[in-house]
Amino acid sequence: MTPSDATLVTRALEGDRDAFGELVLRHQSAVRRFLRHLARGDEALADDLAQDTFVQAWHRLGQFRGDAAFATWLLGIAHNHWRNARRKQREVALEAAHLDSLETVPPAATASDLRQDLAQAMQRLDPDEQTALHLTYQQGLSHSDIATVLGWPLGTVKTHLARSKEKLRTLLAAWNPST
Amino acid sequence: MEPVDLKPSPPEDDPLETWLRANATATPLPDDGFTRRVLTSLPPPAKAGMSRRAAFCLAGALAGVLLPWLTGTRLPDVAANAVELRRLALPALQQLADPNLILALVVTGACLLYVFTPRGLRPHR
Repeated sequence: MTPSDATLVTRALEGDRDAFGELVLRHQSAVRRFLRHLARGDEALADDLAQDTFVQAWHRLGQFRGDAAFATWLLGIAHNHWRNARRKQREVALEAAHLDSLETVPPAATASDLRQDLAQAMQRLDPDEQTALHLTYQQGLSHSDIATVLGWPLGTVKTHLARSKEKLRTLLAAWNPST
Repeated sequence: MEPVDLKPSPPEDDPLETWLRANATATPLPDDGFTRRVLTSLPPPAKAGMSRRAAFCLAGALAGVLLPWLTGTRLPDVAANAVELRRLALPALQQLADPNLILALVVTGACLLYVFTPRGLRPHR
C-alpha cells in the first residue's frame, strides 16, 4: 500500500531521508512545472528554484501542520522562492534583459492552431492572471488552495480568474461564434 | 478598482472552460535525477550524541558542584546561607499574595507558555 503524504512527512521528521525522497519524487513534477510557468519557460532557473524549494521544505518540515495538502504547502514555498529570486534579479537589473530573451521563445511548434492561439492569448494576460489560471487548470487547485499558495485573499483569486476568462473570451472570440 | 463580475465559473459546456482543461498538460515531468540532486544537497544528518543544549546544562551542573568544592565552601555554610535566605525571602513572598499580582503572573505565564510551545503542540484552531 502506498503511504500517504502525511505518513511520509512523519517518517521524514524522524530523519528518514528515503521518505523525504519519496515526497520529492511525488511532487517534483508539480513544483517544477509551476516554477517553469513563473520563470516563463526558463527550465534551468526553475529547476534551481525547485531544488531550493525542496531543501527549504526539508528544513521547515516541522512547521507543516497539515491544514492544507502537502502539495499546496510546497507550491507556497516555491512561490516565495520565485518572488525572492525575482527581487534579487531586480536588484542587479538583470530581469528586463532576462525577460526580453524569454519573450522571444515561440510557443510549442507542435501545438494545434487553437492551442497556439490559446497560448498566445494567455501570454497577453497579466502575470497574476496567468498564474491563477495555471494553478487552476494545470495544477488542479481549488480557489482556496490558490489563495494559500499565493497569499492572496480568496476574493482576489476569484477576481483574477473571472477577469482572465473574460479577456480570453474576447481574445479568442473568432474561435467561438457563440460569444 | 473596477467592479468585476464574480459569477460562478461557467458550466462545463463553456468552450473556453473545455479548451483550458484540454490545454492542461497531464503528463508529469520526468524526474531525470532531480530527486537524487535534492537528496544530495540536503545537509548531513545530525550526529548522534549529546546536543549542544544538553552539553551546556551538564557543564553548568558540573561547575555548580565543583565551584563550591574548589573554593572550600563547607556544608554548614550552605545551610546557614539557606536559613538567611529564607529569613529574607519570606517577607517578599508574603507581598506576592496580592490577588492582582497573582492574576498578572498567571497571564504572563500563560503568554510565555504559548509563545515557547512548539507550533505542532499547540491546539489547532
